Amino acid sequence: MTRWVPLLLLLLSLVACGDAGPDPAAWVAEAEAAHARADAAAAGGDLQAAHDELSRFVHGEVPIAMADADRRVVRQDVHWRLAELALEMGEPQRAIRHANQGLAEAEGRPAVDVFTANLLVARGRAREAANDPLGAASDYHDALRIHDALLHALLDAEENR
Amino acid sequence: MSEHDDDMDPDRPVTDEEARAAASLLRAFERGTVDAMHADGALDDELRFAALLQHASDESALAPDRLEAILGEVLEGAKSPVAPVRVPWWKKILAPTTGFALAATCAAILFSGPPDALPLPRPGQELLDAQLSAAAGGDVDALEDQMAGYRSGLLSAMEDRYR
Repeated sequence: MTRWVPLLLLLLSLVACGDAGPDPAAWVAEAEAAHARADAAAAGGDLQAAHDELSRFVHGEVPIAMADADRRVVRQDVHWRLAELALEMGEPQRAIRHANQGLAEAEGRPAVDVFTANLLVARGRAREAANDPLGAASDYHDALRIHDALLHALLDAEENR
Repeated sequence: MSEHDDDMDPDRPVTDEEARAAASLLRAFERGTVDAMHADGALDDELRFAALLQHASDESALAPDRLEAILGEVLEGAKSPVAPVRVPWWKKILAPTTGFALAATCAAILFSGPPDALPLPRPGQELLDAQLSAAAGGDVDALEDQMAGYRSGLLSAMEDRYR
């Protein structure tokens, strides 16, 4: 029995090392490639193909050895584009789902950045299209608050230059 | 029933050999001294043991050097030969290597968390204007164009960071 203990420990070590998901740099490169393929498909008028390219990426495996915020912004950006594509295809409910999934990436701690603001704008537009003006107004209001903070940060940086 | 079980049977009749051994022991005790070192053949062990018993009750019954000799032989006989355990060469290498690898893996998992997040680039005036326009019900294409440039710079920096 004891002769198998070292082998077991070695296997456990390999399993622990092998559970880190894809390489972060390769995953980011794949995000860029998925955006490029979606751009090409959308430019050719095939919105469903563009949607499929981005959907495939966002449902793929995510790297573990990566900062949460970095992983979040990459995925939120893809969800935003998926929501906009769904809106363009006339599917506001699907657009709302994509926007909600994107906002959920923040795990209850919404960030003040362009990605969160984009998702709120997309959801507001989708709610407007889905005949939910109050929901849309609420999203636009939240997006404008983020926009205001970003604009102030930009102006402060300009003044301090 | 085995031969050994027969030997242990208390009702078994005494053999001639056992009767002789018992008589020798009795004579040895009755004499008060046991010449264990010169006892004959098959009764050596019994007589030497009797000498030790006798010594336990009367320390003068055995000379010190005789006592040492008998004790030495008894203890030597009691020792069971222990064969040295041979460890294969690969076990000598694998055990410490595996232990080190496991410790290093655990340390890496426990003490090296993910790196700090990349600071986001500050969005430019054009991007913020396009976002405001989209929120006001305007065209989204301008926002998508601005985001393409912002995204490209961010993903390139992030890829360099994790490479």
